[in-house]
Amino acid sequence: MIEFVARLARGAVYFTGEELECWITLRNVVVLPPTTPPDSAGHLVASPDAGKLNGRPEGAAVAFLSGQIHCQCLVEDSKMNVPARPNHGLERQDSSGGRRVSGMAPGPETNSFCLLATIPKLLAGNLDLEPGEEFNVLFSEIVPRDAMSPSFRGLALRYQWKLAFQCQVLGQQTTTIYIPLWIMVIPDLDRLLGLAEMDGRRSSMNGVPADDKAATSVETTALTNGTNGKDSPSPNSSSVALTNGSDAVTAAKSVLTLDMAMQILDSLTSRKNARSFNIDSSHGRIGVLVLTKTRFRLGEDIYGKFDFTDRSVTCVQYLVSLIGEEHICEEHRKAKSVAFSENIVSKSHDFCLCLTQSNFILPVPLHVTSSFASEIVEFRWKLRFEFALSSEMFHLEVPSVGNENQSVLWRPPLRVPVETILWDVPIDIYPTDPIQVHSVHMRESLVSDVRVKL
Amino acid sequence: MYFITGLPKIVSTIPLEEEDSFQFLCCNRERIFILILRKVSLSIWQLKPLVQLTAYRRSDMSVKNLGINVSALWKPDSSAIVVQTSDGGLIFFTIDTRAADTECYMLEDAKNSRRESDELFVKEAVPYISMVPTTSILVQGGITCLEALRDNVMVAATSGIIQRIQWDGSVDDSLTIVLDRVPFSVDFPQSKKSYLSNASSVHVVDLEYSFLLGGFSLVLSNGRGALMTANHFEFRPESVQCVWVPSEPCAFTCTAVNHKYRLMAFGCANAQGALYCIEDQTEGIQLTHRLQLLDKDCPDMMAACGPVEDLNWTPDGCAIAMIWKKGGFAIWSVFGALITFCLTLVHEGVSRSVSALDWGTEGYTMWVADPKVVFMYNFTKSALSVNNCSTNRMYVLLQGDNSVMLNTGDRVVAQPHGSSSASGREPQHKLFSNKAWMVVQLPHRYMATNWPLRYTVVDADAEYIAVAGRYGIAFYHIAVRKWKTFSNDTAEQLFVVTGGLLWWRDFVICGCSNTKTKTHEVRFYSKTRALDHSSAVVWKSEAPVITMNAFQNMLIIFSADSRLTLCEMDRKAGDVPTIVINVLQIISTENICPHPYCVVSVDLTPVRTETGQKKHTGIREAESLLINVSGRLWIIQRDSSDPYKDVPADESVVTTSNVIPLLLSSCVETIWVHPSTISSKEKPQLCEALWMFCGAHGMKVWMPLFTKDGTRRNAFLSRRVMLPVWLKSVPLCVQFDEAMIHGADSDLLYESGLDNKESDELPAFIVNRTSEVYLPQVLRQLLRRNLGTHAEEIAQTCTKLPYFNHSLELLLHQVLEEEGTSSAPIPDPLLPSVVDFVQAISKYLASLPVFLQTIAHCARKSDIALWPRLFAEAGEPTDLFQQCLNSGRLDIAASFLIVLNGTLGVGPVRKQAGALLEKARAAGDVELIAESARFLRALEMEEQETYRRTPEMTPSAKSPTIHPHPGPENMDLGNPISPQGALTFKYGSVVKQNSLADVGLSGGNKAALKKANSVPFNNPESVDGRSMSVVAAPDPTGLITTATGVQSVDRRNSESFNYLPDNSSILRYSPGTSVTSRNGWSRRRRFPGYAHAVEQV
Repeated sequence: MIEFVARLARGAVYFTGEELECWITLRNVVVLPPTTPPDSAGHLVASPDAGKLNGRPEGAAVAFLSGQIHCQCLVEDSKMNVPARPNHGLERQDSSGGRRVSGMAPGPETNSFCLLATIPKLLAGNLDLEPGEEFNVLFSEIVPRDAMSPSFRGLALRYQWKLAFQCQVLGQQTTTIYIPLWIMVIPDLDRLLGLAEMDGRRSSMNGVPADDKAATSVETTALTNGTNGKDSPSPNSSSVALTNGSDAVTAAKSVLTLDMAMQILDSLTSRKNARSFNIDSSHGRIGVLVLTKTRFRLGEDIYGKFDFTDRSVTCVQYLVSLIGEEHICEEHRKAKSVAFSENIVSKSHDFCLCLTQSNFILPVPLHVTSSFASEIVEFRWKLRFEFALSSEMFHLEVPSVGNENQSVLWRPPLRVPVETILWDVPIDIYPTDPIQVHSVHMRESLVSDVRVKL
Repeated sequence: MYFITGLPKIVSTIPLEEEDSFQFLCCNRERIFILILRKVSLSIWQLKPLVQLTAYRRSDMSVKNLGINVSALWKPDSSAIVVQTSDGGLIFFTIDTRAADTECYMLEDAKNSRRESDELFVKEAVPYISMVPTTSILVQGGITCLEALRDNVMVAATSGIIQRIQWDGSVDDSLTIVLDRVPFSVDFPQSKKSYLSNASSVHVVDLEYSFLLGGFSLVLSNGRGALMTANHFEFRPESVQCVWVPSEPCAFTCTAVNHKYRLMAFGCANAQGALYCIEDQTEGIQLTHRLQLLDKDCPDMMAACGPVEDLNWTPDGCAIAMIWKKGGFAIWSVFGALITFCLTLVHEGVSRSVSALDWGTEGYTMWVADPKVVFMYNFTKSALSVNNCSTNRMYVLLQGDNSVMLNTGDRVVAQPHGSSSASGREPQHKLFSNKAWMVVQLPHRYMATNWPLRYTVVDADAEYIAVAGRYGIAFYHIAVRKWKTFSNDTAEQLFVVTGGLLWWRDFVICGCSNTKTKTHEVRFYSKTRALDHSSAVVWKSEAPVITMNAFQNMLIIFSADSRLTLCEMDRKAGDVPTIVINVLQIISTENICPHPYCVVSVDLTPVRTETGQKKHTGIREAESLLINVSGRLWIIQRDSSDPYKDVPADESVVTTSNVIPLLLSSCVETIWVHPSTISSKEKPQLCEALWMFCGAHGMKVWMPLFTKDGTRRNAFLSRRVMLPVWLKSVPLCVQFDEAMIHGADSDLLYESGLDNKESDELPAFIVNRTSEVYLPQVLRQLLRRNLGTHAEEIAQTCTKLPYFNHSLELLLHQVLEEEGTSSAPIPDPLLPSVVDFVQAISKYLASLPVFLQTIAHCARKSDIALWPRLFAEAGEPTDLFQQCLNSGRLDIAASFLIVLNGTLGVGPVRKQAGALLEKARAAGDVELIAESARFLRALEMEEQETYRRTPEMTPSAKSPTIHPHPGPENMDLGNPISPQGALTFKYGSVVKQNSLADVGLSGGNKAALKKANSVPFNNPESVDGRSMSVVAAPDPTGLITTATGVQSVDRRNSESFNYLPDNSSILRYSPGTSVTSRNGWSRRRRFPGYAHAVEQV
């Protein structure tokens, strides 16, 4: 019996453009009939018919072993039209009747298709293994850089990345072994790569970082009652200068290393300029909101501060929610279905009626998908503020009276009429260090070791 | 352990132009309300939601008669307050709660708007209360401070008396204590008593009462402290006596008492703090530790901070906050480990002094009042501070008032080796560092009615977190990110968790009291089922449960009757999994425990003392009980002659108190024991150790010494040794298998708020997870105690750690730095034994040239002035270099080149470098060939430079540039252009001629002799799996080699490479490039005339 062991050198989380390395060991193990193979934690053992092969103690032959990375797209039929697209060489698993699928194969999804697949690499062919002998091979492949679809679990659509190995032991059916991956996309990578290289060169010349310390920008956002803010600021447009084309082309050739990716992310999400917003409502000014930045990485905290010193309307309380918004592109949207769905991942609330200055910390979880836009779906992040406002002015000071024998007692109001308004601030969320991300996914389905008996 | 997070909230401000100022603030006993005092007005706020409940402005007449507000005191039942005024007046107010059922601040939606989110609805009514002045009295001679004692107010006056005033304003003169008539004894209550002289006019400046200390902690106007006790709790004047606190060089200014740990804290005029405890046997007063900032934090503490203004313990007594007259605050753990300090509260323009500080509900907020602003910092605290159970010590778990932060620590993972024929080779071990916090926000459904969060616990596999607030419990499944709560509020309100929360297998265990039946229970809820009382297993306790812990299948319950109950838990599988509890033994702890509240933690551990040793079975059984009472760690050894296991289950439970507890250590905050049930074969010494965190006294490890076969080596050696380990941050988790300690610290996030604009911003903080490798320190302590063989044994168990070599370097470097820079002669230097130790270890690891590598890397990171000392022990650099060459480790040999350059003349160095080049050629190492050739060229030029004069150099900008090849990380060739310049060469020759002792003095180059300012690899965070090469490679951009003319150097083509060029003018070095290593650690100044010397050629 052949034992197949795959081990991802650095866990199962990668950026697109990064090189993935997976060690594969094929071992001809001698099976002792009655004992079942030990199932140690984290190893997936799939040996449905282990006993059948016992009568063949001599060497076994592996006809071939090949590996590839592919991305599967699963769509909710009721919400969107499946776009027609050619199959990228990878056959549908459920269509080829004769194959045995083990490991973590996707179920027979009628509305799933292969979005993207690398060309299968042949790792071994006509391999004879004596009992106890083993064969080691390294599978390395670059996660396609042009992929716009990170691993994503949305309501209307899911992107699943997998590492697939096809292996045929002589005299058996071909087995496909799937190892789930979690792939993260850095948007605009090619352009940024060119930029980072330029930055690196520039900073090496003069020894100072090339990022200039931009001044704080102040924007005024008018709020309308009960609706989303009509002119929300666009933080991601102009602050990164475009570079010329040649740099981008040269950069696209090379493999993205983890250090490069982290450098890009560091410069993208560094605290370049705090943004402050004057928040106004139809009744007057509420206060000033300061956000440290509008680009965050997974696992970071969003710090915000409200200053109510200069106000004409009292903010009684506020609630900030971090919301991921899944937009289905118009051409793929079903006629009557909704354009987007929202998912609240963290919230912060404060009763700030009596406060001069309040603040909030919103954690960006590590398990969510960063902002991206593929052909079918666009995933955006935003902060939603819900303000409960009172038009009555509120004075905490105890007034003094003319009479010098008179003391004064201040009592709170029994009722406070409030109006609620909503305001959305779009933010960008970028991926972060794959090792960190792996630490949260490990509890779920992602493993870096797979062991299958063939 | 308390950590500041985020920005402060500004509660209230007074405009600068107004004359008013904030005078004082204090919370009531339950910390639900806070009283804020201004000069003429006062207000009461509710902490959740944060609203002003009522405020009162005194009449102008009252201010004229009694003066402005100074301080205040809550009645313990929160039904009244008393305000102290500047002219010696006391104004009593009662809190009018007649209309408390009426709700105020009721939010009502306007007609065309609706709140949608649940969070915007306030679940709990805000009571409508007010304050009514009842009476005011004038105390002769002015008041210094107030303190509540039962139903009285103790009022200390400047006339040297302490009056007793009732809450209705009546004075009972018969209870007045006159300080002159109180006997004072020195240090011990039994010692000779004396009285204050009548003429001294000494009076009480500050006093605070603690029931558990049995008296008042006093600060007198002469700057001394005392403990005032009485044989009766009423403190009748005739029964009162005082014990002086041992005198300090500096006067005391204020005091605060810690009930749980029974400590008296005093603030001093020199900005420090001093803490005292009562010694149990003699009842004398002892200094336990001091609170002071180190010079590296604040060079002149006295000048920067001023006298201590106030001290305040957190509600659970785990930390103390200190504020200084000149502004700024610091937070220390109970036994004096500095957690956070901040001196930048002094705003630009406005001279501020922090006038008051208090902790809010459960210590989640810290309120600070300065003259014009009242602000509030948010805190997260370690789950250990309230729920000190064993699973919480396996991870770093922090709890805030609205979220839980978890870090599961770093992991060392075996990686398959990098070649296809690797089957026979050992796997590499890599470190996966994980500093990210997993932040879990608490469910609104639970917290809306059960705020604040009290207890938090994580299970052993870090899969579930359970929390308990005011009522009931809730738990969280980390993998699916879902909370489970009771279905309704009524079910939650059935019980209150009072004594800890645990995970045991698939059950959450809570020590609670039933609000309906008023009984005390231990409840078990299954994590697999819905939270529901019908499926709960309930075990009745006779007394309220104070704390609990579990070990394997044993549950240990400490209850308010000072008894420890040992139970065995047996899980019965079935449709409804259930637990059968079987009480094994009840142990009375009255003889070691003055009050049940003083118990910090109870543990059942496999730790054995020497006397109670048993044969080594491999299974870790419960061998001892560890009880932490007010910081004193007691060990109760299991009696092996009468094991509890032999007691049949049906036999009546025996209460035994004849066990003899041993005091293991005092000042213990937390302990750690390896959680595994099977004793570790790989690292027996490290895994069997008991760790104790002792605040200012550092971390202590109680480590077993045995050989692998479990036998004793030396009869005279004790079986365990206590070693101190000094940490840079507060430890929260010991990772035994990784030889690492994780902790957390509060770091300044933004010095001045978010937007950097306003000058009066307050600083913001962030909590970082920290980690430190403790191996070097443990090894060093063992070597210091002449336990070298044990150190070797321990080191041998750790060689698989990816940072093992780094640890050796760290060990060598630290000893070298300390002994090399010490001004006083060291009677018993450790350096020889450390070098021997490294050599011994490297013999054990025959495959790796650990010794040579450690010496080379250590030398490269140490100051050149320390080299003679190092090489006096390690052997001549030339010999070491030859060893490297002979063993074929050319990369290490390359590391030695720079050392040779510093110690030998040019000629010998050139010879050695030539030898290396030959070897490199033979090995075909292209990189090394190029680098050593470059080194030789540089040597050549330095040689010439010594006798050439130097005109101005004009670098040609047009010449093609060659970037030095970055090279592999592990090739530590260093900077081939000798950065120490010509002077060091002379210095180097001195080494050869003079005796070693003279070298330090005769060196002409002051800069070279100066101690290195920073130690680059001291940073614990540099232990990183991805870049384990700890020696900084030369900065590839630090030097730009410029080739002119025909000799454009092809670095790849080694054959055509002329490594001893006749004309050294082919190379020119651009001026002004600084020679720094990658991590910014400036090695040595470059010789200034150097660049010019080249041009001359």
